[in-house]
Amino acid sequence: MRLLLVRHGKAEFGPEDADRNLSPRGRADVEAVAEHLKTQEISVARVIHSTLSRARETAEILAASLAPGVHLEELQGIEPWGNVKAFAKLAETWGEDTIVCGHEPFMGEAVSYLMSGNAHAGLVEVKTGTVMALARNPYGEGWQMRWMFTPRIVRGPKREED
Amino acid sequence: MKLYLVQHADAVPKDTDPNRPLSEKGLSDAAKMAAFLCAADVQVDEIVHSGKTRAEQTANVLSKAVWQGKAAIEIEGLGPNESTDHLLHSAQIAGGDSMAVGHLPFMAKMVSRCLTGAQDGVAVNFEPGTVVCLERTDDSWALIWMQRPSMLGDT
Repeated sequence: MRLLLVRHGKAEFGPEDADRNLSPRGRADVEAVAEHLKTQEISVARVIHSTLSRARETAEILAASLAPGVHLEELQGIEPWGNVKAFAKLAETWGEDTIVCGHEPFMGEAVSYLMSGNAHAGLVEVKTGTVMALARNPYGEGWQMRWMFTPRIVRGPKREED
Repeated sequence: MKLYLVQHADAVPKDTDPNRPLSEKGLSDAAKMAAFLCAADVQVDEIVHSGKTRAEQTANVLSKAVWQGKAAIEIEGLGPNESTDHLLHSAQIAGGDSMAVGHLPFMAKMVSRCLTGAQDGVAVNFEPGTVVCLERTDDSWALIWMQRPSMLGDT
């Protein structure tokens, strides 16, 4: 079972944090990541997002490429201020490859916690649009990182229109 | 400052050739990884390898993409079971971005040591040809991305 943890794409500024949408650059970044993963024949059974718009939009773009027809699931407790330990406990019960779209600092803390048992180990730097694939450690406790992409790595160097 | 830690690509078994050069799959995987690094615009200021044929060959294929094809430099202290002290020390004082091509379990221990301070603090899953990109800011390291040949499809 693979857990694909994603930070939402770059978002517009707005008065209501929960309603902020992806910026054109943010959409293009997530689309590039989705396309790259599709090329690698990555598919998932479940797509989960936080209660905030920018995470839902990110999930929609990824689901369109990697899980067509799958019903998106909204999950509370994975907002930027979410509970990392409760999330880790929940993820332990999942049996199918799953995408989870959320936020910083939650996602970075979740990965640090799953890999090392310490949410504040600061193991990863999670830029917007980053995808991190974890699988359970076959030789011991916890989870292993298998791969990790940023939009920058997938799209290549910054372009003028960015 | 970025540090790219690489496990050599797939090599032929010892009884086929005691020098263990890269297999056909290894050469193809290294070339795919070089194309990926090129598309991602990765450039480094130095590539070092352990001195073993499979590490040197992998390093020189990647050099074409990230170091203008210069011949990768053999250094001591990158053997499969050596201490990570030497590489960690060089990485802590390095001024530019560098790539080190070596072996397991060394590379896995090095990643863990940079990220947690302990060689077995954390596990990243290597397969031959995997590249892990770490970045140092002030005195701490973070994982920025990692890529494996099996995630690069067939070409």
